[in-house]
Amino acid sequence: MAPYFVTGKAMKITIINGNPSNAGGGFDAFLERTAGVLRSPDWGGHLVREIKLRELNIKPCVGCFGCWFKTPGLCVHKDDSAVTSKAVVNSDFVIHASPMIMGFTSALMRRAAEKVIADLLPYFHIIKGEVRHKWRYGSRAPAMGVLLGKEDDSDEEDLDIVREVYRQLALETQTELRFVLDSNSSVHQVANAINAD
Amino acid sequence: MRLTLINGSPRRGRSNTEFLFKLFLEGFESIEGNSSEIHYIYSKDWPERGVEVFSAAECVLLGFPLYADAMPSKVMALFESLKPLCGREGNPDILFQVQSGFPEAFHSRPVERYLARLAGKLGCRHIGTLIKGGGEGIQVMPEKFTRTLFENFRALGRCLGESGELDRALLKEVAGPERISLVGRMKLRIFVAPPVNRHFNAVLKKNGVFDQRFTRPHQA
Repeated sequence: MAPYFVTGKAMKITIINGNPSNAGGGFDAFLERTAGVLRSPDWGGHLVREIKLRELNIKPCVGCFGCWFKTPGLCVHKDDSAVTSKAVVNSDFVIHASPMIMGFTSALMRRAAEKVIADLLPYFHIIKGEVRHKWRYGSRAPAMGVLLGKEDDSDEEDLDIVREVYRQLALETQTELRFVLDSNSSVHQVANAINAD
Repeated sequence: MRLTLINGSPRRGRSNTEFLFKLFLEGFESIEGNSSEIHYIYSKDWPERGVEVFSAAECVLLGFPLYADAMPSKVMALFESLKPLCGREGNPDILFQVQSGFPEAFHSRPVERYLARLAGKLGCRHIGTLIKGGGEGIQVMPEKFTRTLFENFRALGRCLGESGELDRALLKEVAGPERISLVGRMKLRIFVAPPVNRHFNAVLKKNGVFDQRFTRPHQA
């Protein structure tokens, strides 16, 4: 496949890897190949950082709202959620990557996802006719894409459900969901989806 | 019927999820012979213990608050642990309850779609999902705003207790509006958002961090 992107500004891309275990190795290897292509000069020469959630200690959100009202923007619980937040808010593009388990992204992925609340402001706003919280770090969160590792029984309906949830999450952070692809896609297809503007 | 309620809120017993459970149970247990038990996913021995609780149940009501547009992480961890039970003979019937602080029900629809799919994967008879938007303040709102909602939750509990089903019209009613009309949005903007936002500011001031409310601690 030819690169869609020939010249342009290199982006800071963060891959959040929510694979709970590298047993089998296929999914992590796919992400490494994706990162490799995105870093290559022909495909944008992007600055790519991968964060393996399983190597971090991210505690579940307990719904205390401390990150809004006690230590604005910071989780009050001592864990590594600042690592993902720092990477995300300073990126141009974020890839949420997870194998599907029981038809959804992993619980590990959810743990990072639910911490997004610290990166939002508490106030209610009506944006495009819908009640939302505003992104704390400017007018919009980085654009996002989702990479899924399919299960044996995954079908279009499963992928579409994840797509719908992430579309909501993108709207919630005033950004766009650029793609939902699975690891049977070619890494070049992923790169093109990111580079297409 | 014995109903096994599984509370997927980190706030456990003081959660809105629990509050709605209790209303539902008032109706459910008003039918003779019905009984219930409540378990909490945010407990030390969960989600592991969830497999045992789920396997032994006749009918499960699993409730949780909407977190980042879907289920909280420990609820997903429970779903992961249930994988070995997919298609097992004798899995319980299941219904769900999703409550969110957003006034519109549409925020909860994608996860509702997932839950129906999950029930299918497990081979559970899926009874339905109770969606409740605007659920954050229900425990402190004046009674006149919540009377109908509370009655409807009791009625849904009674309905399950009597027939093993949920009344679709009542489900629609408790969910509230899917989207808010233009007039509704104007009212929200004028009458709801300002006092709520003022309350937020008061809390920020009380905690001595009002001037940091827009801070961006992770900006490079």
